[in-house]
Amino acid sequence: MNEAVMNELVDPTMNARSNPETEDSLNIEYTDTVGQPLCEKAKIRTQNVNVFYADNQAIHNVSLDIGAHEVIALIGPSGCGKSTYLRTLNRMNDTIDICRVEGKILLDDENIYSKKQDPVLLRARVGMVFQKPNPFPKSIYDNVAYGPRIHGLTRNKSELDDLVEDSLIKAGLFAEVKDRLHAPGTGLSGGQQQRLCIARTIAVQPEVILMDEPASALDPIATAKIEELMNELKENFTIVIVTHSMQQAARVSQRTAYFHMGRLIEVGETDQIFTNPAHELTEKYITGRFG
Amino acid sequence: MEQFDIDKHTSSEFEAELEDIRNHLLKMGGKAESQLRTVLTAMLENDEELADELLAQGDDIDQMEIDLDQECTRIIAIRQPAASDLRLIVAVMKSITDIERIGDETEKMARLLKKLIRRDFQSKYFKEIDHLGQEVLANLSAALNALARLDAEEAIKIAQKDQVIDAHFDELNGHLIKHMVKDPNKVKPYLKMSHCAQALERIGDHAKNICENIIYLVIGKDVRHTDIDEVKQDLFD
Repeated sequence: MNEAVMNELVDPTMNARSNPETEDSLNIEYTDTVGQPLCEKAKIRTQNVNVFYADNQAIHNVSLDIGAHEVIALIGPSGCGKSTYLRTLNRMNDTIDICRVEGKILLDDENIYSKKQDPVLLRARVGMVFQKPNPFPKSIYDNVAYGPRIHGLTRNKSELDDLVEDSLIKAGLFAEVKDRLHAPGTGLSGGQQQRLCIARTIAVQPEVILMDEPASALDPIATAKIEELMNELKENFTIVIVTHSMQQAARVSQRTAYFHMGRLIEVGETDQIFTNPAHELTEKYITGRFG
Repeated sequence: MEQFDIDKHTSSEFEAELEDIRNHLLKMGGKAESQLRTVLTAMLENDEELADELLAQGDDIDQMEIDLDQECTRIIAIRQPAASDLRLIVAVMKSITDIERIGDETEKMARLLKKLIRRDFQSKYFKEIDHLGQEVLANLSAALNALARLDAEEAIKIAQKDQVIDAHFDELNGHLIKHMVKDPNKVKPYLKMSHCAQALERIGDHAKNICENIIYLVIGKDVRHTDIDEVKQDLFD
């Protein structure tokens, strides 16, 4: 190896990560989403979505398709808009007075923000699991039966029993709670409570499940169970997950979308995003250079 | 948009660890390069002592390989690297295997040479082998420089040169075989020379592998088992 090359090695300003050219490009401008935001068999299509909290714009012109029966992970640093975007998909932002959503969000080609859309029915089709397990202060059975009851999904007790059991099985919880279905849901462990919430979501037979950091309050074993469950759930549902854990995004999703300051920077196959991202911001975020 | 100081990892320790394995890899490469230079000198100068010196250092490269392997494994376990960091670790783990084998090939040459020197075997083909060796050495040095500079374009050019090395090896080996046929009494020493030439050809292949690892590291494309001219066309033309 020649001397000049050896000198470069000991002079950190000369290496590829910190040469002057790279430093000039630190102020990376967003132009357009890189990758493949559209898909052929989309369950949800979002087109030119802008979200405002009063005068503050939280989402800038995001267009993204959510494919049927896929798990898509939304990642990005805090405040990047990924949770805000997630909440537009079942109109959870409607509950915030100052929030305004522009653009089109189509579920099976129907605009979910049209006036004739009942948000309650929408949320039965697009269910949500939150960061912190939030079971109702009711029994395990009643937690799961609550949705089917209010939506009138079953004709009699026996059908309801079957639906509760089926939902608990799908959520991977039945074996652990079958002998105490009438015990309070709040008495379960954190991981079990989260799976109970998933069972409650599944019970109303949604088409899409939105998950907002579903495992961030759980220990590694409970997290592993939720992740394994997601893999099984995608057979029947479309799943959109917001996560701060990049390893989790890499493990559970088929596609990953990277958000940055309210903009959708890059979307791609998860394998590609985590081995060879196309946008410099994605690269910097997933290699831990910020966020 | 807001500006970020995003050129470094949030964890400076991780940054230092990655820098460290890169530097150790290059040190290991430098060591293999110097062993190749030594064995070529020993051959031209009939210097058995020099060949012995080289053999005595044999474990250094092996130890470097073990150390780097352990460090890479530790980084994977602790940091769970992604994107270019992951590609760096993968490229390092692959390249150290190539460098370790370059070390093995130079040791093999040193052992063959010792036997030839002891028999006081003279042949005009030592010069030819040295010529091939200098070509291989130049390619290996260039590959290590490209690795230090993370220069994928240069790596492709170097990988292309391996075709020239292969052609020279075939030509040289053809000559050696002809001599073996002509003079069956000298089959053994000529066979040893042929093995030396083969070792050089293999070192050339390892240098090419290092170039492929550089391309993977920098561009993220796996170009192994692909025609290198096509790769150049796809990526740079």
